[in-house]
Amino acid sequence: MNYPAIAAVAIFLVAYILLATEKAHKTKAVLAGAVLMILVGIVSQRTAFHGDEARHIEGVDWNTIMLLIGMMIIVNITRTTGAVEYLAIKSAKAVHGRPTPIIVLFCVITAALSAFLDNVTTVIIIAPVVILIFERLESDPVPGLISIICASNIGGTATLIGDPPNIIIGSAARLSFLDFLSVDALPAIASMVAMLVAIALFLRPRLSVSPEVRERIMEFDESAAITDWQLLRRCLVVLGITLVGYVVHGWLGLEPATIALTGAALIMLLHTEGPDEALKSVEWSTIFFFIGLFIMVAGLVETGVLGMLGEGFTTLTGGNTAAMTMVMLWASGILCGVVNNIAYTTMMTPLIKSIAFSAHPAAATASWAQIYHAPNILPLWWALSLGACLGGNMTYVGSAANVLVVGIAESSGHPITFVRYLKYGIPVALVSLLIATVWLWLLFLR
Amino acid sequence: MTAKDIMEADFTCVQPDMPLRKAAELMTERRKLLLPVIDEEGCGYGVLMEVDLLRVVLPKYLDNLASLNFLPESCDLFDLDVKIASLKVEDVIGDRELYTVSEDTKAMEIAHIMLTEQISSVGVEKDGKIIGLVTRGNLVRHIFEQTLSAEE
Repeated sequence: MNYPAIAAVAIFLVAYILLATEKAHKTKAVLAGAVLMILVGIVSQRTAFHGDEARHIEGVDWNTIMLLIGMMIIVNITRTTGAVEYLAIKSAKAVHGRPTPIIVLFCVITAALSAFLDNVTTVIIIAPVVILIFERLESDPVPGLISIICASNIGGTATLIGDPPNIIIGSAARLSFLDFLSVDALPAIASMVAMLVAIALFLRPRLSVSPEVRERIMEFDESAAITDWQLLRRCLVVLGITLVGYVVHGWLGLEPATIALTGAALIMLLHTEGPDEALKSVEWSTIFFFIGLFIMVAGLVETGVLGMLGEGFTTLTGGNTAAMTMVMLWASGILCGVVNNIAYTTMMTPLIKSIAFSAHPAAATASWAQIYHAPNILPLWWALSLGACLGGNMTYVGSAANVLVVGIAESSGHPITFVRYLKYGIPVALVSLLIATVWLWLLFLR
Repeated sequence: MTAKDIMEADFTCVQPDMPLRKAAELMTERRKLLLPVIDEEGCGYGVLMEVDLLRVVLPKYLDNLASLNFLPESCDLFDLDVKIASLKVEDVIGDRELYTVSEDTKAMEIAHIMLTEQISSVGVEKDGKIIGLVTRGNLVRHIFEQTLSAEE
């Protein structure tokens, strides 16, 4: 390794240790590392901000950034209407307050909303409703809370916009919304079904509530949950247009980021509040975390560090597609149970690209798609996506949604211990990764 | 006019280990929006605010919901007796600090602090101890009394 490479690795590791040990806020650590890489000349300012297409270096991925910002605006205006609360209460009443069916329905709602909106927003609304309902039922809310965490991570796996790793992969590998639906949706649905069967089998005997107590749920008034019907109708129209936009973005030759920004602009036009109010709801700290990561990873690519890691990966697996796919899936799945899956995916996308570049017999003259969508490379993208998203269920620090729900549970007086979480998280993660293994094999490796 | 002229030297305060129930009684009886929390040595420890009492019954995670209108009337989240019994003042105030000024801080500066920091009282500190409290009410009264008497 040359000096710039050693410096790049050192900066990356220090920033990562700071964020993993929470010695510094993740955004501060990553942004400082990124700026340092530019200041000491590891990566040029131009490459960091704009990438370098000729040398296959990404820099800040503005598609990812704009898609995140657009979705945050759409979702945060929609959530003020109370629509998610409405759905949750309506479904709890539909099953007459019976606890196990409530958990099953909440999981389905959470998974669907996580797939098409955002995991974090979905769980921070559903989790308090779970607590309110189970406290009314005089029943332990923890199994329900852990179930919705898992449902949100599984649901997010299914689409390009569902989970940040997929957004990053979709942009880096130029895979469309429909590509994600056609590959990731089925294993996500199968994992959900497996989890719901397990809930019915294992939780049902432990959660029983007398009919008198269940009556209390029927007193909830779902229609009172909606705060603004007019805004809700407008949000639903914009969400509908945005979803159609995602389905057709490939044919229109538009990036998903453009679709998200179109939705955001539309909803801001239709909303009576000023733009500052809508922009306030953007999680700027998360946005700058992404920006910092992209720049640091550009430094690792520029100095050849990720190229070396890619060669190591190829050597380890003998360049065999099946071996590479399985190692990618399971390593991603297990690692993303404990490391930040956004940081991990940001680093792995250039790694896969370097593998693709060196594996292609005529990389210098081949087209972009010939190199990065080659039959031996395509399964790697999907293995990364499925591993990074599904692995998030493994432990309670596996994804942002997990951490938030655990915090909510704690402050509601129903703490979820690390070990109690593992009893649910590990089986769910392992079964879903097994399903992904079989699926990838059927699809690409048979 | 400085903090020394405006402050109340004899102000109601609570201690960090005081049972929350007692502090809440003091707050409601004397109609205070906030009470300074002063430790055994007379140093500023924090501030107990009315919102801290509301937080006991409506924890922060419920803020994520668009409204609580859907709850039935019979659903009493406020089973305060149970929730408040075991709590002390220090359990609910978080790390909010008592904002302090010195005796010779000018009235204008105190007004500026109250407006920019959006606080309604500041402690007056001398040798590390809190010797008085300037409330927004005190300050407004002093400023306007002066202006009005000058006009007369």
